[in-house]
Amino acid sequence: MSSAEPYVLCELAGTAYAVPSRAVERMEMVEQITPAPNAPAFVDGVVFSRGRVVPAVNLRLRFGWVPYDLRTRLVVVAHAGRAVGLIVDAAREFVTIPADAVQPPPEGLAGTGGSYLAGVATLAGKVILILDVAAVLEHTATAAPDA
Amino acid sequence: MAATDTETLRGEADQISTAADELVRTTDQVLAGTRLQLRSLDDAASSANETAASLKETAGQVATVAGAAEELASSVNEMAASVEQVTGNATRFNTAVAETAGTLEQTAAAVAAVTARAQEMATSATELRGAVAEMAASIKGVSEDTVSLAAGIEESSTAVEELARSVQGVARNADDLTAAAESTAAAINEMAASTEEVAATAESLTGEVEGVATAVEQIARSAAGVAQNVDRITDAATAAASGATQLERSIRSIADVTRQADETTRRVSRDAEAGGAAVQKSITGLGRVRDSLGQSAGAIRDMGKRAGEIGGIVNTINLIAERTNLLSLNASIEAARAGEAGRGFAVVAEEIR
Amino acid sequence: MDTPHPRAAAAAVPRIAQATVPGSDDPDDLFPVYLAECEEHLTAAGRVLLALEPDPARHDRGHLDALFRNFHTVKGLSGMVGLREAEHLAHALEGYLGAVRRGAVGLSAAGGAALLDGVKALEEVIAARAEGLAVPPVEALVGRVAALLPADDAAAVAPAPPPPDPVARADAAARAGAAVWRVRFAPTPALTGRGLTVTAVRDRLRAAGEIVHAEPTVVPGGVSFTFLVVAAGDDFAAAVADDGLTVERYEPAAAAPRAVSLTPANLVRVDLGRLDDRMRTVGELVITRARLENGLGRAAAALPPAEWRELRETSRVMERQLRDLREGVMRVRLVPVRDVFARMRFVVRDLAREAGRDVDLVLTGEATEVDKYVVERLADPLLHLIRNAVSHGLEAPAERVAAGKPSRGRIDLRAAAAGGAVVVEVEDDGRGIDVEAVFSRARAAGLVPADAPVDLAGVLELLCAPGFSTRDGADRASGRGVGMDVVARAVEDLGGTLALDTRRGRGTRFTARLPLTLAITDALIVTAGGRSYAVPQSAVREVVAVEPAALTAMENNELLAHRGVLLLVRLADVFGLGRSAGPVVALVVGDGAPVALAVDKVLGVREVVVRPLADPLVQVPGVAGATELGDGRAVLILDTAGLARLARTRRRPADTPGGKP
Repeated sequence: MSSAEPYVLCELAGTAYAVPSRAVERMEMVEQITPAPNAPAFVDGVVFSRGRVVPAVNLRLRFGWVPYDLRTRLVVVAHAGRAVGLIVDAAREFVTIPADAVQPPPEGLAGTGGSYLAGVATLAGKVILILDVAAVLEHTATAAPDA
Repeated sequence: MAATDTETLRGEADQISTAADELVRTTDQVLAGTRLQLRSLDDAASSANETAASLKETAGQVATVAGAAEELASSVNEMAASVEQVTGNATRFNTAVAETAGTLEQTAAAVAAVTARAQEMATSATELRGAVAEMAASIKGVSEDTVSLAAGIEESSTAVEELARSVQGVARNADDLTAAAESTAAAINEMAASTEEVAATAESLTGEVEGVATAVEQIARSAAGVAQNVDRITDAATAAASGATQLERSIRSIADVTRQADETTRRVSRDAEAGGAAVQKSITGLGRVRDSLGQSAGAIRDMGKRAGEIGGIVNTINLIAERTNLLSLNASIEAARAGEAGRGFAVVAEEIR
Repeated sequence: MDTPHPRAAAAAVPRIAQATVPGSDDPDDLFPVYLAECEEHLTAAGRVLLALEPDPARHDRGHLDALFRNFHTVKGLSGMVGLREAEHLAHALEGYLGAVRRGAVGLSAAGGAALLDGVKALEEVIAARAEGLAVPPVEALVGRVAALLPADDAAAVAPAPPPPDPVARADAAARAGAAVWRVRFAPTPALTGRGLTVTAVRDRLRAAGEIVHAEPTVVPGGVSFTFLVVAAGDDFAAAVADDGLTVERYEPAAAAPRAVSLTPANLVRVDLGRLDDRMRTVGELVITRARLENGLGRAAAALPPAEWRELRETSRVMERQLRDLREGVMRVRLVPVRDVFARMRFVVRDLAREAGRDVDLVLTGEATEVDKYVVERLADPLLHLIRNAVSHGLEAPAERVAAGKPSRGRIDLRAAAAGGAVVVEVEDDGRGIDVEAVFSRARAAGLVPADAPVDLAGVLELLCAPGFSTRDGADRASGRGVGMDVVARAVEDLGGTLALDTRRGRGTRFTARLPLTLAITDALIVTAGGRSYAVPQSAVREVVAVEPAALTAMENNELLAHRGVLLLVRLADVFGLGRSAGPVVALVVGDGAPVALAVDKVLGVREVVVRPLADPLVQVPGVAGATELGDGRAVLILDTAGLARLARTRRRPADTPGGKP
């Protein structure tokens, strides 16, 4: 039995990312982010998600900040007791990726962006980067990510 | 006079013709102006027509949009209604599944508790066996005591015999004394006195013997009591032994119940997997969708009312589309999680086996 | 001879099953198991007997065996739980069945009837005991069964009615108030020689009272007699005293309590997590009601006034009810600080011994109730404070006496409720904190500028600065200790404040003010730099309108003349927002050393639900949590103590890079 895992497909700066569905608590629209003073630069602020206060993290730092629009989504991921919202340009699809379509991330990926990846997959000819939620959360514990 | 008249006349005629010319020019102008006016009126009329037309169009569009919003709202309501129907129909199943799940949980918990109890009982059964052994040992102890008791009784009876002998001796002495007393009168008093003394001593001795006899009696009775004790202890041991047998039987029957319980669990979970799980997921997801749709219907109606802002309508529709998409995404995420949870339950069911 | 008390036999049998039947709280309680077992056996026996009733002679070996086993088991179990009547009756029935099995007698109709009646009677007896009622007598039925048997069997089946239990008589007499004595006498030849025989003893005892029980016991080397005597007068002991007698007071055995659980049925153990859920639900209700109120406001135009007023009234009623509910749930979580305080006694005792001090720990207000969450987290800080007081605050006894103080040091641990807060104080009458020394050390370490004013609030902060105490180790002379940063952090985490009062040579007092509730609080909603914030009302001492002209500038600071002079801290500055030029509103905050926190406007007071900022990413100084005012937007709740601290140590946060709008 070949296993297939469900993912949420996101778009960030023109690249397709997949976040494992089991790590996703909820998807929210980005309507109002309350800035948190003196927080790290990549933290746009905090939002309420299901009655809890969740930091909204913007991973677009290297590509420059763009204003939010209707398509901007907050992917609230949870891992090891922490819940953090990742701001993405779009996230509209829920897909299942078979395990045999996933390969480990290619060696020598420039920049620490590669350390966030759990693997890469191809779906209908498109390259999809599979996010390692634990790594993202770890790297956003204190220091700014280089991505 | 004629020339002046003529010149005056010519002058007047000139004036008149100039005036006439002016009149004509003015009339021309007026005419032109009127024509312009007419044309402006025409223009105005036609632009009014255009405005009217575009107003009508706009009104028509507004009406269309409002109508569309209404339709959307009502179709959303319909959707919600049909979702409710489905949900309603399936709610029964949902409830049944939930109940079953609850029962399963309870059963699992009960099985766990029973297993724990059975373990404790097994431990206690071991304790019991040990205690029975102890009892056997103390019975032996009691019988040993009984032996020493018998020895004690023997001793006492020996003492009694001695006492009896002393009494006999005293009696014989008394006889001797009485015989000797018959010789002298003076001695009679003494003898009488000593006889009394002796008699009194004999009495008290007899009393002693009685006391000892009572004591011996008591001892004999307590010996009997001890023997009975032994009986009771034996009885208790037997009862305990039968209790232990009961225990074994209970433990075995608990194992049976446990086996039955987990068979049932497996069967039900199989059924659940077969049909229920999928429906369950849909119901949960549908339920959330239904709720969100209800909210969206309200929001949509609000937006429909503000359809005057034509420019915002496109945005509104996009917003609706985005929200709907978001809802379905979240529903999928939840369903996937529920599916995983369902798998987890199956694993637990396996472990019960 | 009377049958020994079945209790004795029961005590010899170890606990069997520890299976608990629902309804019993005591795992040692055999009774529910007994009930269950007997029910099973008696039901089975009843069934068999009913089946046999039409023609008892048609029984077979299997029936008899089964019935015999049933009654035998009931007899044994009844003996174990001490239900004598049931044991007695079951014994009789078992005896009858035994005779039938042996063939000594046939199973007659009368026998079958007796057996059936016996089953019913057993059920009654057991049920009566289960309900704590008087057990119905069984002698008549036992007699009936005995009558069915041949003579010698009858005797075995129905021994003479159990003679009155002398021990019970002694117990009854003792309970009735008479003096009961136990006299022991072991006859020896020597005693007999001087006239102390069993008879003599008996006479003597009879003269002094009534012998209710005499029992010979086997002892190593012979026999000993034990008498239970109900004394006739008060001088019993004197009247009977003799070297050869052991005379002691007899106490009746405490009545074995019925093994029915006595845990109060009106108490429930509640999982703390569930309480938290309920609090969360209450919080959400508060928000929902606020939304309802908002909606009502908007609907005012569309509704007829009477209806609208009614709706609004309902909403107000709900607000009151929610408040009650919130307080009720909070109260469930409240526990007295008694246990935490009591633990400190042991700590003090050990520490005092170690440090060679004499210490009196005086506890006040142990019944003060605090949220369970807070109580649990209070232990550590209190431990630190008390340890400091004992080890560093209090002087050695000699030093104390020289200073004219009692040699015993005194530590006061107090708790009191004050409004919506709990105040906990740890006070010692020791040497006090050498404020000068603390400051000079701080200056030397570069923690404060050389011209910093020496005041109490500053001392507290220095003591609580992480690394300050540890750097200098434990220095008795300056009266400091270690662990103050732990205390400060703990108090802060609990949303409270810490204050210090100390006097050289007289003592030190730490005051912790803790909020009674963590979840819902009243807050001032303020704006600064175009953004809204919430400030817990309990943290605000005063609200003052400030004209720019009323401010005095001094280097980088602004001062406000109000009840003395206050440092003005602009929230906009601290948070890196745009400063406004016009008049501001100052909130006077801070317990020990107040500070004026300047904001643009105060919008009002709202009841807010405090949501913690759980993720470390957003745990920034000056922000204590977030809340939502009804529109889904997050509003930050300010930590006034943190802000005041930021201001006082004049540490300004670096400007945030890449300015976000």
